[in-house]
Amino acid sequence: MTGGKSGEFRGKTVEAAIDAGLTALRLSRDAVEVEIVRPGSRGVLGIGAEEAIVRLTALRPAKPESKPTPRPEPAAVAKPEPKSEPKPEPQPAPRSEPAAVARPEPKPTPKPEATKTQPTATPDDEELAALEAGRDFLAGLLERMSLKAEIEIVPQSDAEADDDDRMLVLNIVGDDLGVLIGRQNETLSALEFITRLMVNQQSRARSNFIVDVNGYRARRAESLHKLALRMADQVVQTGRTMALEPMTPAERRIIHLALRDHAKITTQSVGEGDRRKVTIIPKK
Amino acid sequence: MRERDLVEYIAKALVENADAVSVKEVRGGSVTVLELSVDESDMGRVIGKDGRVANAMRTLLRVATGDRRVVLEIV
Repeated sequence: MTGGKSGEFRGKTVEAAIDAGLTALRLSRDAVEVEIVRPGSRGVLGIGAEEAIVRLTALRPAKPESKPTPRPEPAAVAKPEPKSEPKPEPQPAPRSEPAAVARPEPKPTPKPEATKTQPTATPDDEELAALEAGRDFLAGLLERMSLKAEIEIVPQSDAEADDDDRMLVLNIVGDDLGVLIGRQNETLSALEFITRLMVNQQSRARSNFIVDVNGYRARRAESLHKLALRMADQVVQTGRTMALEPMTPAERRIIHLALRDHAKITTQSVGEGDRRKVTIIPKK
Repeated sequence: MRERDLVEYIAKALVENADAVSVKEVRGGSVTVLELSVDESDMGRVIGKDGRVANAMRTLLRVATGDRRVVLEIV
């Protein structure tokens, strides 16, 4: 062990788990040693699928720059851990299990170590702690809504993400979770809003993460991204300004981002409140 | 009753003074009213700007309740 940053991460596949870890630790692939804790399996038709778990360890001991100046630490209530010293070994963090909502029925997904995405001493310490707190809170919410689901931490999809600012996603995974999305993802927005609020209230820090259900946002972002490109083409061809459907701020952002570097058009949001929509305008 | 639990859980996570959170359940014929009360100073935290927090709670409550009508009031 180098005494560098390390942590365990989970994902649908080994690759996804590694990605999540690299994002969380802000390290590149060649700066870490990867140990596959559990390869995971796809299962049959999603039944019996098992998440992959990997342990990432930074090859170099924490660089000076990666050691955060001990920020005035407003004790994160949900994470009573000392924060600003590198932990050589993962500690049995005092977490309230289960972060993945307890699923009483005997699905063939043994979760021996249900949630051990250990926050380690990284520059993102607070971010990870916030994420964990969010996950715990979200799990509590789902439980009280009588929904059976698990929550995984994954990196934001390409379409959604701004290059330099990729956020982490609390993705709720389970069957029949359409109710969690709601009409025009109203329910999902409420879920995310409440979860973020709660984390901010507890940690006094501004945390930014996304709540998703079965990758819904990711898929939606992907299709919005494509829509944006298609519409831009059309605007270029016709030379006419075009307005898209009204969208939420997050969705409009995806459109703006998708067309940010487009040479021939610009985008602008017009309208108020629920009616606000993106217009695509040809450059003169 | 689990709707009550849900509201209490959210409220307690959002306020400063968790001890002052209480949720009273008033059952009518077809409607159940949940009366959430919190410390005076925490009112803003459970209502939010333009009632955003309260409305988000109502949205989640709808998922939990299914057919029955449950109304959330902050008193």
